[in-house]
Amino acid sequence: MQGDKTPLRVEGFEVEEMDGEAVLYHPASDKVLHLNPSAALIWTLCTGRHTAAELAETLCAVYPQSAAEIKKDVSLALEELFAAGAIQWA
Amino acid sequence: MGLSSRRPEPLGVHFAGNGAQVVCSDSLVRRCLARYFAHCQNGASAPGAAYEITGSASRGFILMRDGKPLLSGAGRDRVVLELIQDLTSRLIGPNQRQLLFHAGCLARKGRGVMLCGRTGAGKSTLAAWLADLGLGYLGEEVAAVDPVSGRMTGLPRCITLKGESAREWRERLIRRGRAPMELTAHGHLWIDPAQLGPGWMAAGAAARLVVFPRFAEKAPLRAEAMSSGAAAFELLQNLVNARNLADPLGATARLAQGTRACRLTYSSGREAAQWIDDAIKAPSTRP
Repeated sequence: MQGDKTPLRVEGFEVEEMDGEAVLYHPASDKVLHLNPSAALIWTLCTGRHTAAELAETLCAVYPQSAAEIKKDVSLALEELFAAGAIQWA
Repeated sequence: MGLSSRRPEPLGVHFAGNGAQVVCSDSLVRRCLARYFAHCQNGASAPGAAYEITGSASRGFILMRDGKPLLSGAGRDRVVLELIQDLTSRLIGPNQRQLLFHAGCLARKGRGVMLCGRTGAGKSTLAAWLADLGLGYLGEEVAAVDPVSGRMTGLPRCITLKGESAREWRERLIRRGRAPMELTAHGHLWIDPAQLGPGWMAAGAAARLVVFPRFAEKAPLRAEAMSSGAAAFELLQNLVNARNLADPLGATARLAQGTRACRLTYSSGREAAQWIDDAIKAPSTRP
């Protein structure tokens, strides 16, 4: 289950925050990613210290009005970040 | 008295501080290249690649760069196309100071527009239409942006059109009684931007609008405004010298934040160019 896994940002990405969005650039691989504000926040929280479930709970506590969507959004965002090579599972 | 053979005068091509020289023994090939790069010969630049074309149409041409063979036994059209491609790459490659994008660039009264995208996005077609509307032409394939000043320049070689676009423009220029264009066996049409009217050449401009064009047959014209993050992402996809730069992400992000950007889907080059011209004339919506 993804919820028990711990996401960790892949090293080497440079980040530029722009109006809440983030553009990630990895010089060694020339990879470029564009994250909307939600994905940018989630990526920032992927420090390797919290599981995916804990990460979702943290966001639910901050945004209780959106708790219902948060768990689904977090799961989807982590899948996409992993597929894009921006995070790994620690 | 013996005959002396004189080495042909080299053709110098300059872009963004880099240069290349071409020596060619065939007068037709030389004339073709001189016309193609007619507006790229002014400028001071560090000595760069030295090309030599020898041979003949009957025996085949040999293309050398810095004394090393690149192509041999080629026909006239093929050697010209190979040289253009290789030379352009060589002009772009060493640049460590400016942001170089796959982009056409034009300007009206100092306000520049970049048409950004890979081959086939429609940069050249739109560049032709925009130059015809009276915008100053900077280039149609590569744009150089100074990361500090935001000033944009281009490689003002001939506009190269293919396929339906080439056919349409051939007919338009013939109807206007313009000088014949260069044609190659590959179906490429070259338009000297000077054929599109007076005031065709811009000296450089501040980048104000970035357009990511997409041709879609029979599609209605559609412009989608982009966030600066989305624009930076797309610009980075088209940045050709990222590895040479100290801070490609930061510089590109600043460019994106200082310009207005949109995706433009079109089926009519004329209609798209009119939209772009209206947009560049409008007051800027981003500082």
